[in-house]
Amino acid sequence: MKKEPLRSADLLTGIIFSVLGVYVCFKSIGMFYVENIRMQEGAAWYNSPGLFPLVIGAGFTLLSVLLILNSIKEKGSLGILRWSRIKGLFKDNRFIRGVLVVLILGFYVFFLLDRFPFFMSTFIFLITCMSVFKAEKWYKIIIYSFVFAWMITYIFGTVVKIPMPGGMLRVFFLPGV
Amino acid sequence: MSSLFTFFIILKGFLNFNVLFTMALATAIGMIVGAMPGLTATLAIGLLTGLTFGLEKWAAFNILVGVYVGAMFGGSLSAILLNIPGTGSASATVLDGYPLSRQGKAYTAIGLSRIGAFFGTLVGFLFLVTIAPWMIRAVLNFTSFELATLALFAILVAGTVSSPDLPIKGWIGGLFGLLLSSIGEEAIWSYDRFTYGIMGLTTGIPLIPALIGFFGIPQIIKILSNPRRFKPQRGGEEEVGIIGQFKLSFKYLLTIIRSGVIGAAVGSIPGIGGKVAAWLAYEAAYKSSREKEKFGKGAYEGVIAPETANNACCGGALIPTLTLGIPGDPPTAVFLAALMLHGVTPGPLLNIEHPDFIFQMAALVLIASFMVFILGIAIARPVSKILEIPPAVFMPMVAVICIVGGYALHTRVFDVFLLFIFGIIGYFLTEMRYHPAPIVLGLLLGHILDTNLRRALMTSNGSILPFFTRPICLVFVLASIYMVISQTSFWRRIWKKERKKTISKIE
Repeated sequence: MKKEPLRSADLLTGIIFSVLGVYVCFKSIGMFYVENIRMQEGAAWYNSPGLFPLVIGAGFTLLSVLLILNSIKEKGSLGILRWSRIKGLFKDNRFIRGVLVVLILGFYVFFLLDRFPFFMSTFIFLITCMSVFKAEKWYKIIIYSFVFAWMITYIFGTVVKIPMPGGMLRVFFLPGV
Repeated sequence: MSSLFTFFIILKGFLNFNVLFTMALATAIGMIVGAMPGLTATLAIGLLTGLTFGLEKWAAFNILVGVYVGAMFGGSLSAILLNIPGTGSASATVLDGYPLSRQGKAYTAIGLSRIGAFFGTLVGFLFLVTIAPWMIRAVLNFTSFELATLALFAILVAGTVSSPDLPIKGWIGGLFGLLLSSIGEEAIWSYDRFTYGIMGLTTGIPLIPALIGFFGIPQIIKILSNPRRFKPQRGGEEEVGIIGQFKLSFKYLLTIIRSGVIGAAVGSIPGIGGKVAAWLAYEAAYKSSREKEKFGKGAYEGVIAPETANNACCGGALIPTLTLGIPGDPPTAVFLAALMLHGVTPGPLLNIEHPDFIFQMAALVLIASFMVFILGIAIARPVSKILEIPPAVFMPMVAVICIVGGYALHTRVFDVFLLFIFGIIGYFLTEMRYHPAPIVLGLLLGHILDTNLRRALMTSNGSILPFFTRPICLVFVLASIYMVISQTSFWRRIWKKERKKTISKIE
């Protein structure tokens, strides 16, 4: 990322991190006075479960503020949130491809993985991914996806005996899946 | 003398077909992973930690050490053939490795890199067997005060050194990792922190899925969103044979020894890693060379020095990992997690609970060095074929392996969800020039820092004075303060000026 947009991004992340840091500090202070661990006000503060996150949250907030100050000094601004900038992202091929990767991977992880046998979900994921990104000719994509999905399922499910997510597919001509 | 005898007995015990075959396979896998741009030794060890969890302890460690040492060498393959370092620690090798391959000496450069890697790993091994046993006796004097300040120092160092932009981003990354480590049931009161009633978070953030998420998923997104087909350089007519490569290496014997010592010494400082070692060795080689004009254009020393140093780092980085329980670099951070998963707790009690463990690890490092030497040149041609596989074919397969790696350890789909979420966060952070290494280090060391900080304060009844009056603590505190001050604009201007002078002379 070029310097000025990077500093603008730093400004935005600095704000987000400082809000997160303040939130952590606030929640940590609450941990000093929790009845179910018998901590009463005025008791040993250094023994509290809130001490560590409070110290870290305070440090995190301080560093985030320093990041904000540095990005303002280097001409960062919240202009990256302008609608014209966001619209411009949708014309960027790299951004669109990145979004597609995330969507396809998210589909595999959150939808396919626990609902279908592992071999099937992996096969569908690989075919989808390679086809969307035009990896090879269609028949090569099918062959690569099938062979790799089978190999992974067989090695980890049958040889290493890891109970694969979604279970195993009972297909007589595909041992191990 | 008895230690030497013990070491040779242990080494003899490892010299059997099973161990050697497994080590050879693991080293080859490490070289291939190291050679692939976007895949790192850290990711490979993280994946294999989960996948080898069911194996017997020493079989798993055998594989992990082989992959670690192999990946350190493997990074030089793509550095030389593609002008892209396969791992961060091969970034200095690009400067002279790629020009050599353009001159038709690709396999000569790889051969020199292999010899450097072999000798470097040997130097690292020597450091490990001589310094670690002494250090572990010294560390028995460490109390909670020292361990807490050391953990903080390691995170500061990792944040400073690994950050590709401002050091403050590295520190923010480290603190972010520490915050993540505080999620879950804390150790002293069993109080649930930041779980929000989610059962899966009660045991805390699992390290391996988080590591794979931060290191693996961003690379998959990055490479697939901007795929480049790689065209590795081929061998040429100017290649030097194996005997010639040895003669060349012995001509630069002093460079090899100096680079090995630099690499092992830098590796033994927690949180730094092979990249810094490689650059320091490269600059030292340039400054003392009689062929300065060749640097940047295909100097043999320019390949030998960084490769020797980054492989020497392997043995060096195991020293703080085993003796202090503080990782020397990101791959050993994951290695530390693997040790704990197999019931080995590194640190002061290691020699008592697992006598001769250090010698056993050193023996594996020694065997791995010979594997790199034997396999190094043989693997180069197959690797250059693998590098030609289109990323759109290869990276989805890597994604599947990452998912399996994240799932395998606890067989929970929830871990895969976390892996994906950390992957997205990691991608945005990487785009904004944050490095994942301090985040993962913070996640790993958070528990150590938390429990030791509170134990230390319980011992001193809440007084923080012992942190400044205990000598070792004071050293770590002053070193941490120096680390922060040295990153202020005044000091950085001076440092950058010196580095620019050296690199502009090379270019």
